[in-house]
Amino acid sequence: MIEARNLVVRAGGTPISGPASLRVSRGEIVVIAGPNGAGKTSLLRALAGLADSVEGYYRVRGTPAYIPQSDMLLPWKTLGDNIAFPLLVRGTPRGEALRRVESVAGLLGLKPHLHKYPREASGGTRRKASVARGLVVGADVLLLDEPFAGLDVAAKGALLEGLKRLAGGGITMVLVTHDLLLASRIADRILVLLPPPRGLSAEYSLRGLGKAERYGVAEEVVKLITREGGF
Amino acid sequence: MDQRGVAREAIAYTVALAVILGVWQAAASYSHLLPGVPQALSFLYDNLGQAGRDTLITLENTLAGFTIAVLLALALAWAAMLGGLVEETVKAFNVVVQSVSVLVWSLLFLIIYGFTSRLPAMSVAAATAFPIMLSGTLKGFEVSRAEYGELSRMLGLSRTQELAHILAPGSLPFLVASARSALGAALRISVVAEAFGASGGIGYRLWLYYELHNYEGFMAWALLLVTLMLVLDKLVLERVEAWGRRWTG
Repeated sequence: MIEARNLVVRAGGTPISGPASLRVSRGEIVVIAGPNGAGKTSLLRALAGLADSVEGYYRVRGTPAYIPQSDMLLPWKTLGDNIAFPLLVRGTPRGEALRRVESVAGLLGLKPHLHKYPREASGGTRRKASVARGLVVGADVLLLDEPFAGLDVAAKGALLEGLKRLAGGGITMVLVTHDLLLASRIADRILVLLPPPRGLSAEYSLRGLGKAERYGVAEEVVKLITREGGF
Repeated sequence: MDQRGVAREAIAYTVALAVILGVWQAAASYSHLLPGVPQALSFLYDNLGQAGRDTLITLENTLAGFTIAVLLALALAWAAMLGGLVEETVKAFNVVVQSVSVLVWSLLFLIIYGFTSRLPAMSVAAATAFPIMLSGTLKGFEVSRAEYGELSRMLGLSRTQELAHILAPGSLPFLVASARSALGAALRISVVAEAFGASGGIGYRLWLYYELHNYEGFMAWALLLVTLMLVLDKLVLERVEAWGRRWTG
């Protein structure tokens, strides 16, 4: 679904992320970890086609949806209308849009919250609505930037379950997160991104591992990042 | 605002009004020209029909000018979102318009439209409200774009869609706050243009009564103007502003 070779993101001519070479298959959940300033968000934005200056090769097969760290929910619309927004601006009839909103909301357990305004919803619910807004247009590749940031334990758990369900349905996911212990519960692989020029430097597979082994790998990655990040 | 806040505000306004009316009454007792508060109120009561007609004319002039200012400000702020030279030009234009004195605007529009037309008062109201509206709209658009610009890019919105769905609603708190200041300023200033040249309105009547040495009429219409400003601000504009900010909680 996603393929990149020697992908470098630049800002004003200076490399801010990469080089990165990676391949992500359909339905796979890949976590990108790294120290602050490694260019994790820049890499994610590049894969979403939102970066201004990119060199190297990358290709995303399917429809990507970038879910930014800030929810970017429009506060004057209800969560339901926020999720329907991408469909409505593309000319989808309202009835059809609402039907698709209901369907996506069902996947993420959002149905009871659709009538709420963002300020009336919890952080976890807002984050799920942001994910739903990406999915509603038929996205099959989710690029999630710090999806667990600022959420309490219960909200993190609920979001994690939602993402797990989506992956089970064939949605491909690339997550940037510092919450490695949590992400390791659903990740198939963890990639370590270091600041340029080192770029993507290590890869850990978690497939077939039990919960304790997954935590062990996550801790190993944290140690590597701490060491490489000069902490 | 809770009930306690409303009560506190009512007391504050009552005290402020009492102080001003007290000073007026005290000044009237020293001056053989200035009428007292009861005389002015009595004159206003006797001429309620005229007061109503003048109020309507002034409101029409002000609202017409204000509407022109809002439309122009929205169009220019949207154009400024193109960035670069266009943005700089719009901002420079705003500074130039702002730097022109109200007196100059008033006389200029009188020269252009003539002394009996209502257009000078409308145009002066527009010229007064325009820079306030443009500054507020530009600020609102900039804040909305900083906050939701990436969303527009992610969804591939056209410029018109971005204006309709992101910039305009996102700027609403800024727009209504500016509108409150702009409409107040336009109302205060349009009466000046009415005084210089018009055949009706609160400003025209204020000047007429002054010229005729009818100081009871002059103070009665001054009271009318202040009352109109307060009613408009507290009963209409303040509520509209609260409505515009309802989702910012």
